Amino acid sequence: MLRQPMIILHVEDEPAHAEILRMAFEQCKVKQHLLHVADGGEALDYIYRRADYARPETSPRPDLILLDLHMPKIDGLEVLKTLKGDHHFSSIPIVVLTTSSADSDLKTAYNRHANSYLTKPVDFEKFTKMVDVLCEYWLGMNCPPPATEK
Amino acid sequence: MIPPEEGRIPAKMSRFGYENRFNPTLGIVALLWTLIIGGLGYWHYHQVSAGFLANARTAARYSIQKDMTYRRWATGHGGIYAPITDNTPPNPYLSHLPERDITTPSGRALTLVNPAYMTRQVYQLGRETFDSRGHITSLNPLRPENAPDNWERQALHAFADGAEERSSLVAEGDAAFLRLMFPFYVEQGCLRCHGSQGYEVGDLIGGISVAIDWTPYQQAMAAIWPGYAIGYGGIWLLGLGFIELHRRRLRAFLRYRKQSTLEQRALLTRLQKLGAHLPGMIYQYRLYPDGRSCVPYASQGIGVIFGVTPDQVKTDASRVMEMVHPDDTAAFKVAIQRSARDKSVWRNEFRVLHSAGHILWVEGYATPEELSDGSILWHGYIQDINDRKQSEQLLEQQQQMLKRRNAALEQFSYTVSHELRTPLVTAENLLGFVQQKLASYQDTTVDKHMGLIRDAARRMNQLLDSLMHMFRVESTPLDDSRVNAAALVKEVIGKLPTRLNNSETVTMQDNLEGCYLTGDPAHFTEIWQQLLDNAVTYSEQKTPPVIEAGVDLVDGQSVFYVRDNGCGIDPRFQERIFGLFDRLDTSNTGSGLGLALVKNIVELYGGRIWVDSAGIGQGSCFYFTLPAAADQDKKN
Repeated sequence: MLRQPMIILHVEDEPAHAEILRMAFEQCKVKQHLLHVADGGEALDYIYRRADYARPETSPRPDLILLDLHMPKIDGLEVLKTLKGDHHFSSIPIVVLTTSSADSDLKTAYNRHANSYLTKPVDFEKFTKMVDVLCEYWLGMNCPPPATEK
Repeated sequence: MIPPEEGRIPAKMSRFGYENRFNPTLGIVALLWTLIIGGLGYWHYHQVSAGFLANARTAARYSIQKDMTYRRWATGHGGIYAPITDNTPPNPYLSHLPERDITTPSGRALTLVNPAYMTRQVYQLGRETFDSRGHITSLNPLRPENAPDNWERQALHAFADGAEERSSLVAEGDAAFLRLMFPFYVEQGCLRCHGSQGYEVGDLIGGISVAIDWTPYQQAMAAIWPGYAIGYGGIWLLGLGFIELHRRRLRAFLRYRKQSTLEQRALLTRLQKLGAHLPGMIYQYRLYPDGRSCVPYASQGIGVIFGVTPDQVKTDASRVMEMVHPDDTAAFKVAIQRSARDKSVWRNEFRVLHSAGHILWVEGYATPEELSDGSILWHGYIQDINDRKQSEQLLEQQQQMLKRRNAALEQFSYTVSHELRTPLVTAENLLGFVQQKLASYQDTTVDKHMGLIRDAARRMNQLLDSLMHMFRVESTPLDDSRVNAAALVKEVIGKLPTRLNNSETVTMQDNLEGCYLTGDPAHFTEIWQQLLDNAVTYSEQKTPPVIEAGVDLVDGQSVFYVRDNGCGIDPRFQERIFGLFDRLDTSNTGSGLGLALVKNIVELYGGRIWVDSAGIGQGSCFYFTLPAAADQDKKN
């Protein structure tokens, strides 16, 4: 039986980066559905179905969250804390995707139960390769948590 | 330890001036001793004399009693007959008796010898043989020769008054005699001769006396007096010797005491001289069991430490105890209690509210000992450590600042690398995609991507500019001029971007006129420019925008402010806006460096910056302090 396309929520404040990631995923072999929100606040609104994301049919539960850390207002670390602290959503895999390689960010992210931590490579080939591996691993090899209501 | 000129009595003074001085107390003691021994000797002499006298009297009494016994025997026989001789002629006073003279059958002539006659003859014999003299006499004698002498007459008169015996020592020429006399009462036998005188039995008729030569007794006494004299004299001399010995010891004690006093005075002088040259104070502190305390000794340095004199705390230490800074009192008392309880060294650093009004950091060090009454006595010192404390505090402040700087620098380097990498990620990857697309010549998104790339490049440029500005402001050597805050703010307002009519929109409070800032003018300009520029930027959409700059005095400290009625800041994010590269809105053109730079400058002058905003659309007010730079000067 064919699996439904995986839903990925990309939380990123930098529009260019969102565009780059979108394009990289388009070239990806694994079928998926990439959604983008512009900051931490919006991400939480999406998950908790608030404001613009109140309707379940337009905001289905994501199978994976790609999370940037440094964002205005509510940043990635705070989103991580909120979601991993909420037993309804703590099982959603969250992959941190950021340009920061600061030890403090790494430490805090893992302490808050990030499932993976990736730094965005400057190099184009490395970037697309990373997205390929990301898809293959998280959308292919990895066994997701049991399906919940979408 | 003590040199001669300070503590010792010179030898000459000791020999001539001090040793032979008469001590009145000891003179009285010697006199008393002499009186006691003299009195005892006299009493003893008197007792011995009385004993001899009593012996002589006993002998006299015995002699009389023996005579009287013989006499009574003779009386009992009504007299006796004795041959008539020249020495014993018939007694003419018995001529009235019928058988006064009788002749024995053999022809021997006998005459009656009555007791009186017999006694007289015996006494006469005794006087001739033993020199003991007896005498029978009466105030009314039959024989005129028997009449009493003066001493006997007095005795007889005394007997008539009821006396039982009379005796006394009587001098006669060179010799002395003990004379003793008994009364004589009429018995039946007496009446034979004396009946004619009208006596009855029991009447006092006369007396019998005896005189004992006192010379043998005197000789016996004279023989024992030298022994007594030697005994008493020896005891007396022994006593005087003891007193003399005591006098020597007393003199030695007095000399010792005088020397001790001199030594003590010398020591005290030395202690005061040394104490006056110590940097702090040396002292004794005594804590009584009932909680009272005092400072029995303190050097003059107590004036420097506490501003009191040693005499002011000699009996009560509460005056200095109250000078301990309120914040240090608890720890100070605990340290004293612990030292008293454990008998451990007391060591404490505390502040003193000096009586002159200033606060002094001091350090104390003292060792306790327990006295017999249960109180604790500490010996120790207290010294001024104000300079050291200030250096320590300064060092601590500098270390803290260094720590903050290092942390900020570390954060800065991470942030910079992250932020600079972000546009690079964009540029590089978009270029990669563009390259892919260009290969097919079929894509319509090239324009969009090229635009994004250009944005990224511009942002990179802006970030670099801001960074360069920040480095420049923070790394310029500190200028140290004093500028008027009002003049400076006016100048900044004049240079604001002319998006608005600045002179109407931005107003300055007059209270800035009296305020001066000392430091680098470039720093102060940067603060005001950043805050005013932000205020203008975030108030543009308001009609009309109202921006105000000024200063408030809060608890004596100048609190500067820039207030606007612009878009406001969500209270949740008010802490974050001062972070490096932190922007609340990605869409605005700021670098995210401005407020971080302002914060760094404010902290450079020991100040603080914070924002107060009720929320979105409610306007904001930025406050900041510059303690190391600001002063209010009314005169200028």
